[in-house]
Amino acid sequence: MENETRFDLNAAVAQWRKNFQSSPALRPQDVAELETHLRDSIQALRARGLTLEEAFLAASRRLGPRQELEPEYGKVNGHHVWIHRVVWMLLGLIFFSLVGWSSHIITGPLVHLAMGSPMSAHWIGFLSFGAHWLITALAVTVFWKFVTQRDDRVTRLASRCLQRPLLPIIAIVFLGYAWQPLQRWLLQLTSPGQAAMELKAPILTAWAIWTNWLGMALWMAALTWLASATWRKKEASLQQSREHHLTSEASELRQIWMERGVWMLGGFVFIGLFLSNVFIAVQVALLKLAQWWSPEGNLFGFFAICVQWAIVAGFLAAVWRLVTRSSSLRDRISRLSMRRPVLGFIGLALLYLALTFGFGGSFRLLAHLIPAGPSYADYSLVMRWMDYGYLFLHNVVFVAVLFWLARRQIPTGNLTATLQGPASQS
Amino acid sequence: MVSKELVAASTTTLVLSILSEGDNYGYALIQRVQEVSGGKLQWSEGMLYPVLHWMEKERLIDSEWREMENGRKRKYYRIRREGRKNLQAEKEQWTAVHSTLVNLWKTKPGLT
Repeated sequence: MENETRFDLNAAVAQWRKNFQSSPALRPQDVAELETHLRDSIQALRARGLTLEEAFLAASRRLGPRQELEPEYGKVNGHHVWIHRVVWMLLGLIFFSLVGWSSHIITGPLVHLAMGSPMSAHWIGFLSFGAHWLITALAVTVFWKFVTQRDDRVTRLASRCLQRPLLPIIAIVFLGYAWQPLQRWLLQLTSPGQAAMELKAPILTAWAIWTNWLGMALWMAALTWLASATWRKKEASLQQSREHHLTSEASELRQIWMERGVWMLGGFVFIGLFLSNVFIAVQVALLKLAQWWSPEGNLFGFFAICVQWAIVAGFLAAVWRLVTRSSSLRDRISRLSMRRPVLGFIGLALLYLALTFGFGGSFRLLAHLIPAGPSYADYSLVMRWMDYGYLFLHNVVFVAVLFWLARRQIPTGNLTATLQGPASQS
Repeated sequence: MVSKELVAASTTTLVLSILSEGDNYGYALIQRVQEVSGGKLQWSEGMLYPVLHWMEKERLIDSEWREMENGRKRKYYRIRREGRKNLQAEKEQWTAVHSTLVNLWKTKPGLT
């Protein structure tokens, strides 16, 4: 009887609900339906003489753990699940891009300062690479600590951002645009002078190219490692719940965020790195074309952006079709790469190389085949259009799509209702 | 106890049969199946809902939220005309399987 007074049913149900709500496979109304079932079941078990706590445990066990229901719901709500993943991918793209830009703002001027000093160029290249990854790791650690330890604040912040999206959108767009002029200004301020530039810049450029490749490999390794670790954890907790061990709240939360992290990293690797590669390749071909046909810089710039965007839209549509169509081959491949992360990494790297040299290469080949044209007019104007086009896609279109999808996915009225929880049982 | 595979194969038919008696909600559907089968047919409770949603997508059934006396809401399911047609077809098939088995076992009484 002592337990009876101490056990808070509403708190236990709220915890149970939170766990189910975190799953992208379950829509809010699905969780609400399961909750009425849970409460009905508790009532029936109570009538048979079980204590409140026993009834809750038995009822939630009979209903089944989230990990077991998720795949079944996922089959019915497949579209919903993928929109959810896209939201996290876009969020990851924006988050990691912001981290990368911030790191460049810090490391760029530092490199300039170091170039003015007697330090050797190789050392500078190495240290700048190390500093960039140190800052990235630091930012990721802070983010991880914040989301896994301050869950309530994260939920409140997210709901506030979705209810009043204008301010956060403006802030992200501003940050996305402001970093370039800021960096340029800082670089000018710390410029090491002509002599040091001529001496050290070529070595540093070579370092930049190689560390760029290494960086991509690191991102892909991080993605495959995290995906595999998440999959293992999921399997383990499914096994645990089958054996009726209760998993702790903190462990559930970590698992949820690991899964979100996979999609965030995936968004950055797939949309960010792949897309920028496609963009650059198209740009090379278009600039060559501009030498033959450049009636007016602005007109051509606009035309170039339209071509780039059409290619990107086609690329994204193809990926969307590929992932949303259920395919046993794809499922088999993803399961294999979860079990063997090294194989997954090799597969991802090969895909990246195929895209870079296949898709990107074909445009580069096209650029190569077009002979140099007579006109070089308005070259910088076209470049500026393309730069702004890319920034607009990255900073405005993606951010707008993110907020639009997130609001559609989680109706804001519903979100506050679920945050407060339904009226307690009378 | 009926095997998992057979339970899965008969779920839609069972749901349609119970809903043809009148509108009902998930928890009561499970209770009804247990009651009629004498506990021999057991569903893993949470798994019923994705099946119900799939049936809704296939337009076999409808659903609506109804308010209870204590202010909370409950999702009720209703059979559609499509569902009734489907049930009729299923009935014939299950009866065919049933009568075949019964006839076979009648001729070889040693089996049972």
